[in-house]
Formats: sequence, C-alpha cells, structure tokens
Amino acid sequence: MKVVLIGQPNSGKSTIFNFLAGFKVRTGNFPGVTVKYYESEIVYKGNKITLVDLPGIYSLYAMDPAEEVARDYLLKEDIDVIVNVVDASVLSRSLEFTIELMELGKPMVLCLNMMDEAEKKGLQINDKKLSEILGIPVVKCIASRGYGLDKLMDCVYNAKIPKKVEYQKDVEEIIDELEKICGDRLNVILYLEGIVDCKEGEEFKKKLEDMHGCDCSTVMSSQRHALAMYIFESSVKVGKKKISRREKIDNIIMHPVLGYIILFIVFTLFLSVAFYVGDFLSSLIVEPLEELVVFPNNLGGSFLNGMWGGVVGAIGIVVPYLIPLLLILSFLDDVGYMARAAYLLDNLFHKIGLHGKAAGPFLMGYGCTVPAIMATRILDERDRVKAALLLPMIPCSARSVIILAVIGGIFGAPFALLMYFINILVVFLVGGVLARLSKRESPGMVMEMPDLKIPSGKIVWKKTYFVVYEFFREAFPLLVLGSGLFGILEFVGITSYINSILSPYVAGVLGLPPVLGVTLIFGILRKELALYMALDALNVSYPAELAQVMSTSQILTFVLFITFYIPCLSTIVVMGREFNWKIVGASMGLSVFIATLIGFIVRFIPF
Amino acid sequence: MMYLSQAPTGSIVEVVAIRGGMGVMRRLSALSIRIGDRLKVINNPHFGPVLVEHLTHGHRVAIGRGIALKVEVRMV
Repeated sequence: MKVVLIGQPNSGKSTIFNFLAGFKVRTGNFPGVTVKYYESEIVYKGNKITLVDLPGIYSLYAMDPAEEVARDYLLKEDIDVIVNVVDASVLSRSLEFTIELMELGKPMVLCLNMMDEAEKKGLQINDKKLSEILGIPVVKCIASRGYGLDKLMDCVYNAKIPKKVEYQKDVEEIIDELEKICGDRLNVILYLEGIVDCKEGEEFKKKLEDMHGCDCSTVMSSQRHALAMYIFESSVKVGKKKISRREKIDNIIMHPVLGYIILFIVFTLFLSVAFYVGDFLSSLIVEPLEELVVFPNNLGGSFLNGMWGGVVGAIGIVVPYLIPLLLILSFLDDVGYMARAAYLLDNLFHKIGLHGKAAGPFLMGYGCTVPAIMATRILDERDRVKAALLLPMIPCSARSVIILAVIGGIFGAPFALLMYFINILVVFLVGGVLARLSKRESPGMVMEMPDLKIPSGKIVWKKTYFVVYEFFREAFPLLVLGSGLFGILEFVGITSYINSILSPYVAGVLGLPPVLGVTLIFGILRKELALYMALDALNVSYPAELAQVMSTSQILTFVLFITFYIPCLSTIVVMGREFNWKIVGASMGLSVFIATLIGFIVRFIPF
Repeated sequence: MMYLSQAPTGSIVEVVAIRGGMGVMRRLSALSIRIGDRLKVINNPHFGPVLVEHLTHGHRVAIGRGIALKVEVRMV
C-alpha cells in the first residue's frame, strides 16, 4: 500500500514522516529537477506500507518547481491514500490546499497537526463535524510528541474518497458545461488553472473570466478561499487567544538592533562549538584509523592506500564536523531560528543577488561545504546556482584549520580574523558581479514565519542521520575511488613531473616555491592535505615554521590561494549530484580564476 | 493610499491592490494574502523585509522589501 504525506511547509509533515519511518530511508529524485522526496517501508500491524514524504508546498497550482513535481506525482503515480497534514493553528488557510487535494478524487485522510498550538490560539476544532463536511477521516495529533500518530495510521485503512467540492452556483455551471467537452472534473479544474489545454473550452473560460472580472486561476483561488472560510466557520469555535511568552521572545530576537547582536552571538557559538567538537572527534579518529592498515608499496598497494586515505578522510574529517554542524543546525531550524536569521539577513543577501533564505546554507558553509550545498535545496533553482558558485569560497572548517594554524600561528590571531574579513569582502564582490551578470533578479522573499517552538530531540537526530546517510550513499564511494586514483598517480612518480609542468604557474604567476605544485593538486582531495604535504615538501615539521622557508607574501599567497581555489573532492562530487557537471565546471573555473587573481595581487604587496 | 513597505510597525492595513505580474500574485496568494485581506504590521524596520500577521488566518509572513513595494494598502 502506498501512502503519501502531503502538506504545506511548516505543517510538521516531515516530523510525522521521521517519526513513523524506519532508519531505512530512500531518497528519490524527481526526473529532471533537483527536488527530492523521501520514501520508507514501514510495517504497521502486520501490513507493509510504503510511506512517501513529498516536499512541502502551498498549492498545487503556484508555479514553483517543487509544486509542479508534487502535482505530477499526485496525478500520475499509483497512490492508495493521501494523508493531508495541516498545521491546525492556521486551519482556515490550510483548508484551501485541502480543497485542491479533494479534487483529485483519491482516498484521503486529514491530519490536524500541532493541536497544542491551535488550542493556544484559542481554536476549538470540532473534528467530527469537519469529517462530516469533507467526507474523510479527520485525526487530531501533535507530531512532535508522537501524540495521535497511532490513530492516524489506523485511519489510513479507513481513508475515504472525499465529498464533491461545491463552488458557487455559476462556477459549478461552467464546470458542468466544460465536463462535456474537456474530460472529467479533475481535468476541467486543471484546465481552469492553466495546467492542461482544452481548445474547445475557451468560450466558457472567457465567460467565467468576464463574470468575475479576473483571470480563471484567481477565480478558482478565491472560490477555494470562500469555501475554506465556510468550512472553517462551521467546524471551529474561535475563543480568546492567549498571549504567549514566545511572542515577547520573538520581539527581542527580531529587534532591529538587538536581533543582529543575538544573531552574531548565536552563530559565533554555533561555529565554535561545531569546530571544537569536530576537531576533538576528528583527533580521536584520524590517527588510529590511519595506522590501522598499511598496504604494501606497489601499484595495487598504492591504490588501496589511497582508497583507505579516502575512507579516513570521510570518517575522520568530514563526518566529525558534519554531525555537530547538522545537529545544531536542525535544532536551530526546528526551534524556528533559521527563519528569523533569514529575516534579519535578507538585505545583506540582496546585495549578492540572493535573499534571506540563503543565510542557512552560507552559515553552514563555515563548517563544511558539503551539507551547505545540500542545504541550497531550500532556494529556487536559479538562486541555487548562484549560491553553489559562491559557497565553495566560504572557508570550511578544513580551510579554517589552515588559516588558524598558518596565519594565526605565524602572525597572530588578529591576522587570521583579517583573512576571514578579506574572504567575506571577496565573496560579496564576486556575488555582486554575478548578480549584475544574471538577467533575472532574485524573485524576493515571501516566507512564512513559523512560531517558535521547542523541538523534539528524536526528530533533530533523525534529520541529521538522514543527511549523513545520504553522504555515505552518494558521495562516499566516489570520494574513496578518487583517492585511490590519486594514490596510483603518486606511486607512478607523476608528482615531480606535475611539479615541473605546474612550475610556470606556481612559481611564475603565484611566486610560490615550485615544490608546492603537487600539494595544490592534492589539496583538491582534502584541503588540509595541502598543508601537510606542503610541510613535507618544504622539510619543516610545524605550520609556524613555514615562516623560515617562505616570505610573508608567499605565505599569504599560499593560504589565500588554498582558501579560494577549487573546492575539495567531496564538494565536487556532491555538487555534481545536486546540480550537473556544467555547474561544477563553472564553479571550478571561477574559483581558480579568483584564487589566481588574489594570489597574484598579494604577491606584489610589499611587506 | 500607500505601499506595504511604508506601513508603520503596529498598524493594521487592508490589501488594496497587488502590482507586478502573476508571479507576485500567486506567491502571495499561496500564503493566503489576497486583495481585501487585513494584515497587522508586526515589524517594519524600513530596511529589509516587512513582517506581517494575517488577521484572518493568524499566520505570520515575512515579505521581502521588493515585494512589499508592490503591495498597495490602506490603513484601517
């Protein structure tokens, strides 16, 4: 049996999915677009159910890519039950979407989630009455606490085909007429929304538009609105709203001055906790793993050694930073803070042709570029591309290691901070140029501000788990294979050959010692690797000793170059999976160009 | 007559017209903001997005400045 969860964003649909789903979760990709959905097999009372979590959408007919794929999925796939999850505290609005779903004529269940929030707002919902009006089972639940979810699963077996939706008389008459020429009722609705064609129907469409004085989709949208309000008024008593403490907190964290101070503190804490925890875990894992197996020094051995290096890199470096980052981030997201950060940072992001929603991915980028790239899914397609081109320039924790160890170690902490400042400046300059080059302006932000709430630990953990699981399924194999290939290259002795080929660039353009050529290539594998190999190539044992073998401008060039040039292999792989290889190429080209330009400029600054 | 971008914090306004293409209209109506609806301006810092509360439905929406410039409102 296939059960599909669908609802508006912030309705708690994914919370329900995460609660019910087992740990075996598949992600599906809709063909041609990067919108993803989750799928999981569960067994409930001896029956096997395939549970599908579609992306949260506001309507089936607003022209957003996620909405189009969700609509196509609902129309074309073989679905047994649609579970419409709604945020009960905004029931009147959510019912408009419920009406859209009712028109699909499939067995349905309505799940009134966040009943606790609804009660706080003073809404008394008569679920029996609502069920009677709609003709489908209605279940009250509070998903974050798991309350009511058993009853929801029971109702799935009693799902009913909803009652026929009744619009105003004149609209129904037009629909009746169109049914004679354009196919069934659903097809007529799709036609009126401008989704399918029906040439013979133009006359009636025109008539409807003339009668109401606006275009068809606006007519249908206000019909649904009126109907939703009617259903709401017949089944809900609105009592007194309790003024919550959370609104007072909201006024502080969104304050035009205090808000920014809090934002700064929250993210400084976020990054430092993620950095220290990651660093600690990483130091525990890397060395024992590295010493665990050593393969013989021959062609096959070097391949295996390289692959093992990739395994160590993923488990010892990426995952230790990934887990604390994702945990804190999904916590902040579930509390509702990310939406507030987006609100505060909207202006700043407009300067680089994006809007506030991009704040999340960018802040994640300071931890690890891989989840940051994955997080761009919340943006629309063209904004995603812009974000993907800029994100690799944000210094991830691996690059922070280099900045802190080399610049901090040699010149002191203020200079390390200066590096971050230069970085932000460059990202804004490049972003500004990209924004001017792209013809279309970012569509601007219309974002629902979810209420602040206390998140469930289980859900925060499961969200993190799914992303880590995805990393292992998708990026890990390629990372390991790629590292193996690098191992072979090194064994065959191509390194000195590479150094001599790169010498005109490394020594000529950047003014660095030629032996660093190959380290820059290996830096692509893992950015920290560039540092370790550079120490090795220059015969020093600590990053701070680099000052003895390189001039100040050489050190600055080296660090800035490493910060900006090609992102690491994991990022390249994830970017390839999330976008396409053309975007990867563009990102790599852009980053090498900028890194070269900066390296070249710094070279001539007299110190 | 004025635009949502100019509505002071704390005021209650009614949406009179939505300028701009179908895109803006659909994006706002997806969040149930339509002509004739009443909104409470929770926060309008005169830079960055305007935060409003929908008086019928009770949900809050952040509307970017660019879009707020296209929403014509009148004080209630």
